[in-house]
Amino acid sequence: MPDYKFCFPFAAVLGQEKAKEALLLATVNPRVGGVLLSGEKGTAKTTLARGLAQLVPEAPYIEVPLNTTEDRLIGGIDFSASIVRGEPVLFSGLLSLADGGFLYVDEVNLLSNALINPILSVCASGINIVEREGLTASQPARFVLIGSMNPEEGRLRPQLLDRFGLYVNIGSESDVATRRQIIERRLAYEDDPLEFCRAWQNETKRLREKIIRARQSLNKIIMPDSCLKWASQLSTSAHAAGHRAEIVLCQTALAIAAWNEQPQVCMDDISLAARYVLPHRMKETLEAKDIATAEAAAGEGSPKEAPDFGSAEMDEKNEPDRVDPTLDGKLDDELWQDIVELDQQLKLNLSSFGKVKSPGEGKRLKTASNSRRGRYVRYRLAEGDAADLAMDATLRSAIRHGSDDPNLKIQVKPTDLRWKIREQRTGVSIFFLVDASGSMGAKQRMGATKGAILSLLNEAYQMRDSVGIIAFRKDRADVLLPLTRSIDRAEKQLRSLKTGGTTPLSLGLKKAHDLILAERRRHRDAIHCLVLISDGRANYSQSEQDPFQEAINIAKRFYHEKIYSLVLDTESSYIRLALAKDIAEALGAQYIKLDDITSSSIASKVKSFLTNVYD
Amino acid sequence: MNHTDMKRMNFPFTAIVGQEDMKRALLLNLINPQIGGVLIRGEKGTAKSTAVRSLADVLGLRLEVEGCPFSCDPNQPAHWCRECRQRKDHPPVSGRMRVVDLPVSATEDRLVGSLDIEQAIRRGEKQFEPGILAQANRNILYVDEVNLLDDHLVDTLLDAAAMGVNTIEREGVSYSHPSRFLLVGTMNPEEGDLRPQLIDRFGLVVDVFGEDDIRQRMEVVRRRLAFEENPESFVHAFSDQQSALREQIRQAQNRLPEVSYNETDLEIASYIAITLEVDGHRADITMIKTALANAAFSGRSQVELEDLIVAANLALPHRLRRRPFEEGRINPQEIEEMIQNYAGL
Repeated sequence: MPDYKFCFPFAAVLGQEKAKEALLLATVNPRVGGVLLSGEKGTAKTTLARGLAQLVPEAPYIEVPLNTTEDRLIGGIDFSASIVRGEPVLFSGLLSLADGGFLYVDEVNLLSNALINPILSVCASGINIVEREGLTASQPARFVLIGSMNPEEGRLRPQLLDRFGLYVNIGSESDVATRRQIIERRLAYEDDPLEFCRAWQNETKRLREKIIRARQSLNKIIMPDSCLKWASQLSTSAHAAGHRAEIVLCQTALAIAAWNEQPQVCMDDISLAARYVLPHRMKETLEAKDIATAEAAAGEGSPKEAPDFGSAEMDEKNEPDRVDPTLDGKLDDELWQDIVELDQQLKLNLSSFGKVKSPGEGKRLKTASNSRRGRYVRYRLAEGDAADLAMDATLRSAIRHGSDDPNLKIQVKPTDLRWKIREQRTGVSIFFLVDASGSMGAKQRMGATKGAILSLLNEAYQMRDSVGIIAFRKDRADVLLPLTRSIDRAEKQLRSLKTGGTTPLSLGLKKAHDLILAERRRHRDAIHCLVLISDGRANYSQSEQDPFQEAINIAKRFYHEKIYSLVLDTESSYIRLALAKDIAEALGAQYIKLDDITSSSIASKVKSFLTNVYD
Repeated sequence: MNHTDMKRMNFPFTAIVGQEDMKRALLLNLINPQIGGVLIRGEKGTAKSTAVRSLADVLGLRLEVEGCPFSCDPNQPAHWCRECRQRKDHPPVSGRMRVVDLPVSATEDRLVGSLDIEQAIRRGEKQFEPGILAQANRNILYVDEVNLLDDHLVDTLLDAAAMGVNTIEREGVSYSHPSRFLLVGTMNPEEGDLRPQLIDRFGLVVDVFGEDDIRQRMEVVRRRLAFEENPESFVHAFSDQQSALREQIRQAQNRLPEVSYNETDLEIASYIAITLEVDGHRADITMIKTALANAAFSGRSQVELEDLIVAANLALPHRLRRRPFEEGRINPQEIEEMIQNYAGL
């Protein structure tokens, strides 16, 4: 394990009050069930999580790196120790090592499913069952799961989202004075970490003592019926499924009361807890048309005042105002607003809940990779003549029988052989090439394409497909959206789109061609295809050539490179030239004339095209 | 150290014509490795790789713990590897910073390290065989065509860059070692973009272009031809300039701890970051570190506005949210005006 003794101290992190509060509450009462920190890059997510290791040194703090293999997570046979002892010896996996402490997963949205599933099941049961190489053991594994993620990199699986008791959306500070101090502290820390930690020692100690006091008082705190009622009212209004929301609300409120050294929970504690507990549990589906409004609302939301948990010099006399118990049941507008705003940031990630499955979905879930690229996640029994040997698993198997050769400690027999199962984030990469020139209906075309892309991305989580957009106008072709699986990123990048100017179709095709070839080099297992949305008109060329002829010439390259393509013809004038059809022929593409240029028509055409690609 | 390497001679850094931003960004990182590396974007044939490789010859000496495979710094106990933490004494020896390559085709095992199979079979011992991330500690980790790197390698790279530590929990091995490297990447943006998370990890970004000026272009060609014809004499011809640069870097490194900044400098960095709506706090922190290094390189002991301007132009552009059909670059003049306005000039 790395040494976290000299990490940037928790107490020295400036701002990020909500994140600090959530982490401290989970530390005081592990029953709140974990914390998810979601936010942009460079906002101290990891710093805060690691700070806990320093703050609670007696509890184990375990990190799960993204490239962890399944055996290290769960545990298994330790082959070198087994040889020494002459009997199978078990090594503990990270899940058991974290028992009684914290399990931190950075970039939890990028973790392989092979690793997420065991984490989820252990989170629910608190027991890690090792069932490997003929060995069975069960070990306690109760820990506070802490995850951090950048929503720009892709969304989190809903089941996993629900596992986190508390959710915090973390952003950067927008106050010059605070930012100034942040830079100052960071520079001081990097200058001399030991000295910096020493300077913050007292603060750290006071925070630690407060945690210990709160932990000790936790089971003496009384939960009045009025608060229980308030908790279930809040959960019901939030349409949170099941009873988990209420339970977590109460556990969090208990932790808040313990932290504030109150003898019993008050209504305010429940309300405060709701800000962390409910946002990611609200399960109304947001219609696609609301996404824009929701985003606007979420963007304007200002962070609510919360008690200053960050510094140990917290005002001890500051007793929270008591709510008049006769007022129960009346929803505090402000609180509601706060929860809803937070929730709407999440909605973007959740909006595909309960959608009808697309026809090709089953096939697309196959992400195990056949080549030797990709991440080694687990192993399987060897068969055939694959060459990707999982040495560790093979050795663990070989240890069960002895060695006939005195020169070898371990003798591997054919039955011991295990191959690696690798996983790659593959799927179909769809490049949309859109005409953004001033030709008729450019705005509508772009708008419809944007809508179609967002709707495709909504399902992309299950499909593991990624989408990119290239648009051409005037004298250039630009990548509006690099290949992404993130609806969040797509939304941000596509917010404003310019249209107008000449139509450099050939430039657009050339750009798409180069990008697809580059992607092919990168992900050999993935399928790349092109969706051209245009009326086939071209009036700008890079050379002396006729613009249309130039486009045809480049289109032929797609055919030679065997790139799957689809042309959606948006021609809408009375006199039909059907130029797009010629382009489609040159591309070797499927050609569809769009009668109505809407998001749903584009999305459905692309979906059925993709089904063909798979067959 | 390795004299058999002589035939793979590098083009001298000081012989590179033009590309001032790129050269400055690289040098500032040598002076203060905490800036966090450079991403160099540009079309083919713009001396990107040449510049990175040529750094090897201007890298100075530094102290290492004797016998430590991770070249731990004897004076930085907070970043010691497990073995150094257990050692009683840490005899310092002098070593040189290196350029460690991460090929785009590298496997994950190669990058993070893996089980030493020979040891396992022969002796039944579980031993860790260090990978590229181990070699990269306190060195330059160079990724050519970084935008073509496999996603899962990028994840691992980000993990290590974020933590300064490479943690291995795989193939029955549990191990961790320091991996604090200066990340240098080169890419041709025509071949695809970088993930936002990865681009943010690069302290600075420079865009390079071919020279416009005919005479400059001719000089580029002339020098290249001379180098290819007789590398040894070409390198020799630049040896004075090379040692002058080495000395300048060394002095700047020594001066760096004494360079100071005032409250206004920090406020300017924060103000610009807020106004330009950059993500997170890394932009302003990097800006100050870069300004400090630039002041040290210019032989000053106080950050001036010009240092902030240089720093802002190197540390900010890639952290802005790019809007379609707009350049991903900010106008240097705009930044200069913002800084001067804030400083009340």
